[in-house]
Amino acid sequence: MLWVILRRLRDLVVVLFVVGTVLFFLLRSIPGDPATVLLGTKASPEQLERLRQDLGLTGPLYEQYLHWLGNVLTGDFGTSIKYNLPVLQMIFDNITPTLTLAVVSTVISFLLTVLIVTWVTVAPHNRVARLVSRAAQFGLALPEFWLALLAVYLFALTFGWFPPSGYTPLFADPATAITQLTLPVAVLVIGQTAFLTITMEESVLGELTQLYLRTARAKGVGERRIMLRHVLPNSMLPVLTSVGLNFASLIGGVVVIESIFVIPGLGTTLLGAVYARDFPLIQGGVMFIAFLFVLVNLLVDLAYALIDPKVRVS
Amino acid sequence: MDRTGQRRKTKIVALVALGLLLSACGTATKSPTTPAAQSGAGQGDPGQPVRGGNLTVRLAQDPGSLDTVQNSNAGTSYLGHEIFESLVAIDADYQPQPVLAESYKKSDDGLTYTFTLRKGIVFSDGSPLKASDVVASMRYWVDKGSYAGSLKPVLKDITAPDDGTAVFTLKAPFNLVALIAASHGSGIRKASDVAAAGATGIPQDHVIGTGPYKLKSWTAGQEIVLERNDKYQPPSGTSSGYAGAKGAYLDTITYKVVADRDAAFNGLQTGLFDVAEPSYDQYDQIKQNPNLKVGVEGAANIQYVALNHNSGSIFSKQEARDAMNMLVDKKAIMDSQGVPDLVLPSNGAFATQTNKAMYSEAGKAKWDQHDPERAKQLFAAAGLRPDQTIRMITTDEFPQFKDALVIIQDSLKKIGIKATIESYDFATLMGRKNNEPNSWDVLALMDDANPPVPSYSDNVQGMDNMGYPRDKLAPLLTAYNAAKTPEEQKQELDKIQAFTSENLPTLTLYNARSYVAYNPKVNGYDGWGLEFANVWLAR
Repeated sequence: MLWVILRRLRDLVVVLFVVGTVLFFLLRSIPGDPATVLLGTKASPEQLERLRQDLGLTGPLYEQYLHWLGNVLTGDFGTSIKYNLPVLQMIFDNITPTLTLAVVSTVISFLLTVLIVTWVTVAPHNRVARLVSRAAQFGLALPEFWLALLAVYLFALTFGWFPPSGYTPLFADPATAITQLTLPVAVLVIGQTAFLTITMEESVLGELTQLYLRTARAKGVGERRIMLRHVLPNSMLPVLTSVGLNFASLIGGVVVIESIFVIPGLGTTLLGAVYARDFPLIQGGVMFIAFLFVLVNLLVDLAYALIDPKVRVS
Repeated sequence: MDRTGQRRKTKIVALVALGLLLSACGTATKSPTTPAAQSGAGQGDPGQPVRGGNLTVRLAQDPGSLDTVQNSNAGTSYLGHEIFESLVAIDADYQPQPVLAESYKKSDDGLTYTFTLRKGIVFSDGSPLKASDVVASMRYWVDKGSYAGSLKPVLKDITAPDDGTAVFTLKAPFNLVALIAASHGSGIRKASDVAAAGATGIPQDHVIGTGPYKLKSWTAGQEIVLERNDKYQPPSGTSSGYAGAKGAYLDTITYKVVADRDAAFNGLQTGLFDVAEPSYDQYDQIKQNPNLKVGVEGAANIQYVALNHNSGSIFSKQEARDAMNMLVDKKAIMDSQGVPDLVLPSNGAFATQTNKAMYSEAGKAKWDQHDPERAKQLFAAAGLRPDQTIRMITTDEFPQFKDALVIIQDSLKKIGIKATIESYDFATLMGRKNNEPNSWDVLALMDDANPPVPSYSDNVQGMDNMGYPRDKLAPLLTAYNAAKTPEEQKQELDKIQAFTSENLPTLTLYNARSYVAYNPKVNGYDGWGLEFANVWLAR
């Protein structure tokens, strides 16, 4: 187990190095730079050049890269050009709303998925259970942005049950935070639950073909017990992988939801940074997402080992 | 398919249909027919102003910094006017009025301006305003900003002979007061704050001014909160534009960063925001909403297309620029916005009609020309080959730019000329314009339509190297700056406008006014951008 963790940590360093390096050169190869955004359309070429010099954007690219790399190795991810604040501070300030959305929606989706699939598995002939299960495919087909707009229109503007937008930290004012989070979380939960339900159902179908179930039935174990004690737990592994990947992609991918519901998360911040060509913030933000991605995958692997004794043994 | 499956599918379809029907019914009931909104700024403000309350304002972007010199973001300007004051500022008629200056004097030769500061002014942190602060702020404004670009070549020095006097000495006459008054970057800061400026300007923890409000808190990307500056000492005179005494009635002003236009509109409707500047396509809906008021701003932006004068473009030829002027149906482009209340013909002028000191109709006759057949002949005379394509570029961030280019593209097509439109984010657009000057022909943008000094915007890097008659413009600007009386200035201004219209560095399309939608409890709004120094909330 320790060896697995060490190997993953080594991979993490490689991933961060590659992501950071590729991004560094990619950002400097696209048209536009922070100076033009800051100074606007009327700036003279001399003013633009002077600001570029002040920002350290002139000189050979390899020198800029080595300077950046040296700083990163000492834990200095630089200062946001737009906000004039340390990049790490910007990331930590803006990750909380995104993490709140991701954690809450993932937990609810996971629990709903387990409930739905358990219900369908234990009561395969129940019409409502089947309907809910079929609805998963429908839920997967609905674009999140469309759902979000519909939710705002119906539940905020028409019925007035929830605010159309806004964000309050969960622990600062829980009541307000929950009303503000309800719609965005609900929209995310629909898509995630649909995806996880389909994944888990397929896993259950695969598990139902396993020979050990025949042995269990031959021993006289009841069908309900077989489903609850054997089929469902063994079907969880692919779901865990999906939950992990889904969670990691949410960290950088909920920008549309953040934008519609005006949630000041990392995705929105990074999008603004791209428009402003805020190179240090883009690099730091993307590397942080890559870091989380690898970390979540590591945690999923560790969870595998906890759930499945075969993985531990191997 | 078995019948059970069929029934299940029918149920799902019915549920979806119900949802869509519900949505459609909602749409129908959300279209009020009572036009109860008030148009025009400053109308219907009942009662006496009262102090207190918080005003929540939607801000489209976090400006990042409040360095009004180096940061061209609109939000920086909006907030800067609440926090900082200038020596002089424009009133609602765009005339300079003293604010921090008690008075100013121009020498007979026009080479020295002496500003006497009002006594007893203190910054919001309690430190007294000194002429050394003025000198530091003004030097920073000239050195780092683009607004004072035309002043820089003629500025000799800025000095402070004593704590209450600031002196500008010039190498040649220049309309200095007008420039300072109109620039949002000319606000006076503490000299120590100016000294704290880094590569990206003055940091957020050095935002101290003498204006009616001061910075209370700033959560990057989320909100900026201003609070009343109790040490604010208003100038004499009633409030007008950026000049005059401001009421500072509000306890706080909270600027919420909301990029999404629809989210801003929803926030207005549900009372999350008190004030917002919505988009043009939301104007009719807002006007029909009885719970919102509309204030059309007095100022406007000029929407224009820049014609590339570099040798790689057909528009380096005068005939091609004249052809474009003949071809473009400015009225059709203006009408395409669908908001007649908010658009005005530009008449080719580089200032709006409201800016009386800078507005000139000397180029109107040429601007009014519209003759596609003649345009076709002129394009041929300019040497446009049949296989040549006119390359138009713009940004997606302002939909009106692309609207205009689509109409121009259609006009070109009708006379047999191919044209392409490429749209980018702003940074990419600027990169393309500056770094690949021969890769485009037409660029759609907008500009502040209220220059304090004659504006001659070429917007194309390296134009002077192409034999463009900048040498003929310089004497005209010199004559304007040397004019002794407003009448003389007006005559010289007409000459500059005529010169601009003759050479067509840009082709103005129309003037676009912004508007503000606000909650009826907001009073005292005077149609002056997102400025709330005189706004109060009804109890």
